[in-house]
Amino acid sequence: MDNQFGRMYICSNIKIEKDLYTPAGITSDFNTQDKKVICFVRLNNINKEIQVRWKWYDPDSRLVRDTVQFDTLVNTREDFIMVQTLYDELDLTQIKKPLKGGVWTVVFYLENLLVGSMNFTLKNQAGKKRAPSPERKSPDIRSNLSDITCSAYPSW
Amino acid sequence: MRGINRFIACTVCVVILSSLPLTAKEYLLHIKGDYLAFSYDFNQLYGEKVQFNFLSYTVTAQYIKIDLSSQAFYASGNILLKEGQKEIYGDELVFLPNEGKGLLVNYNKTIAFTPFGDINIKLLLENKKSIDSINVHKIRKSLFYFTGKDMDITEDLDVFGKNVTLFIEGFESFGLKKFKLSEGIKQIRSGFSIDRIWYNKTQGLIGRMSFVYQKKNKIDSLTQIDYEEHSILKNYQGLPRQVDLRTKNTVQINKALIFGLDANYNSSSLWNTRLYLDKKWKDTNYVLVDFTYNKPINQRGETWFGVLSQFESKKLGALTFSGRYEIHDQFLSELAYYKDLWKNLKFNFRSSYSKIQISGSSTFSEILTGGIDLSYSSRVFNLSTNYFLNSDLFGHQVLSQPQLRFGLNPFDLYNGLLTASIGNIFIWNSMKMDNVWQSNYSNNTVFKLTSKPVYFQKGLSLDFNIALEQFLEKEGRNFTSGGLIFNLKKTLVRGITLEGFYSFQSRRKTEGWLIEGTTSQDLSMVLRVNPSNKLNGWVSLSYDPKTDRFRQSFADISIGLVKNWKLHSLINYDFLLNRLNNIDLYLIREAGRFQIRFIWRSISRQILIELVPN
Repeated sequence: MDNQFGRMYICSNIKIEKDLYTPAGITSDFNTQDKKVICFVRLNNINKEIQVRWKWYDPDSRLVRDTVQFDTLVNTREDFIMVQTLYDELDLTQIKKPLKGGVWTVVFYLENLLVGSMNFTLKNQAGKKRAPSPERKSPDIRSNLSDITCSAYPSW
Repeated sequence: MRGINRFIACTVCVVILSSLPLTAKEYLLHIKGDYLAFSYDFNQLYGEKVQFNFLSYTVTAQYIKIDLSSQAFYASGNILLKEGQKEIYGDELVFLPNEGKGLLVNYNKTIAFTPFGDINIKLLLENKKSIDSINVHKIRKSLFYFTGKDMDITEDLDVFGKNVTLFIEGFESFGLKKFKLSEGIKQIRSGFSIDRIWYNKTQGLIGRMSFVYQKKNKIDSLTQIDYEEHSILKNYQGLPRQVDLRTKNTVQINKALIFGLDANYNSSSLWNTRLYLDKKWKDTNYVLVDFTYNKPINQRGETWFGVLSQFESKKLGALTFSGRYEIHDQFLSELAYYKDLWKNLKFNFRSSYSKIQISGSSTFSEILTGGIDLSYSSRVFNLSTNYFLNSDLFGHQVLSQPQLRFGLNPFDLYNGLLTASIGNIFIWNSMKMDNVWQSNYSNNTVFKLTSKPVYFQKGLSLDFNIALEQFLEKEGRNFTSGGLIFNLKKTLVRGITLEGFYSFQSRRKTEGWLIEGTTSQDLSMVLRVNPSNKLNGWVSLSYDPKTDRFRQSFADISIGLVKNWKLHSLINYDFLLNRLNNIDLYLIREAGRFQIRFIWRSISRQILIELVPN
């Protein structure tokens, strides 16, 4: 059973353990002051080049981010990888204001097949001032490739 | 390995077969797929390239995930619902086949929902969370799992498979033409079932059967029979076999009135039965009238009539009364009253009277007891007064005991670094024996001081507890005792901590000018090891500085082996006797809904195999 979807997590951070990314701060509750939401995915037994894709939706069911515009190929060298971990970040500072409070949705596709979906709640936190978001000098889609970050644990 | 596999396979077959209900079931879901896997451990099903029925549709999907314990059903990837010429496409389907409800979701520029039946979208999506952890790797890590291409789920959520292969600990075991793969869930449904057939070395052959009859909001009936066959055991001292029957039945006459019948019978000629009528008003007020017959072993049966009632209101407080009369002139009664008099002032009264025949004679013991409590608590202190009376009307003894308690609520010093508390109890006892009154009194004061851990450097902390107690009484057996405990913690490296405890206890008795007493000391060391999920445990060593001798050593170590196997050991060494007192070794396989444990105990020199439901 190769090229398997393992599990999906919503978290606030990523750490590295035994050369693999692991989710840190697993939660489904965020607030509008948070800077990012991470969707972490674990795949198993990858033996070919595969396409992955995340789609993020706001509480009004509108698509706010789709990674299809990036090069999201995994294992381009076509090795055999026992565990592949990867994640995508939803940068809340880059989303058009005001941020919608409510239930957001993220879905994950493997080879254009939906394999998992998760919800998280973004709460409106009034009173606190949001830190000014860093200005984007120029939209650089390639630089966003780091959002889709992979780590692999080869079979050897 | 093959021998063990066969033994485990046979065992699991017996367990699974023994849970086969004898009533016919209808299929709720019929699933076909390129690959279907069902985990007995987790009660979960995973499938790829599947086709199944939902309402009048034939559904095809790339994946299906089912968690039977939480009744969550989920399909995803290129979903097509087809009914004749009608076709509906989607990305995921969350559904409740037993209720004929579902939600098809499409993720495009927006999310589009297609509901089936009257559904609560939020609840349905919430329920979906339990399938998040299901994947083929998890299923394959099960101790027992089945794979095949054709599986059915019944209304009772039992899973049946056709041409399935059983895997034990990942090893392919044998194929089965048609087999019940799961135990389903224990729903209260009418019918007869064999719940358990088992053998163990201490009880012999064990069987349990149940009969359930239920009519919604009307009748609830559960009868269970436990059977133990001991005659097959060597050197068994007790009865050759034992049967235990238990039945509980209720009939709801109307919303507030219930009629019940409970009965128990044991083949060692022990039985009892209880008939009752329970009338409720609101949630807090009720009257229960019952009739009980109890037949103990080798003794006369007892027939009791009883009434139990409770009335509660916010203004008047709570009043409880119970009274029971036995036809051989035995009597039991209890009266209790509770009321919040003021914000922090509480009043409590209780009284009981019993007249019970003394076993083997014609005389009765008669006891009247009662007590009144009045307590006040504030932010700073708490004060309570209590009066207790025990009157033995047969032995003509009376104990009267007023009590006064005072305590300062714990208070913080030095910004919470230290916490102190003081408590005091004063008791006056009066006892009447042979028409002579005797009285004594005592006073006990306790002072406690505890500290929060004080860090001297990173990973090195110290905390302590100090307690002092002064006991005074009329007879002059006064004493003062004190104790202190120091606890030093040092983190050596990540996951390894060394702890040192030193305790000193002293008890001093004063009589006139003479002071006598004892002291004791203990110095202990604990090494805690928890560097990873695979290894954790502790080793302790205790030493008596007073006698300059080591006392005892304990070790509790758990090591994770492959998959979900774990080796756990408990060891105790006694330095005074200079020998290993005890070693317990456990080899444990965590398997979702149950655990298999192989145990070796040095004291009994026994090897035990246990199947423990989680």
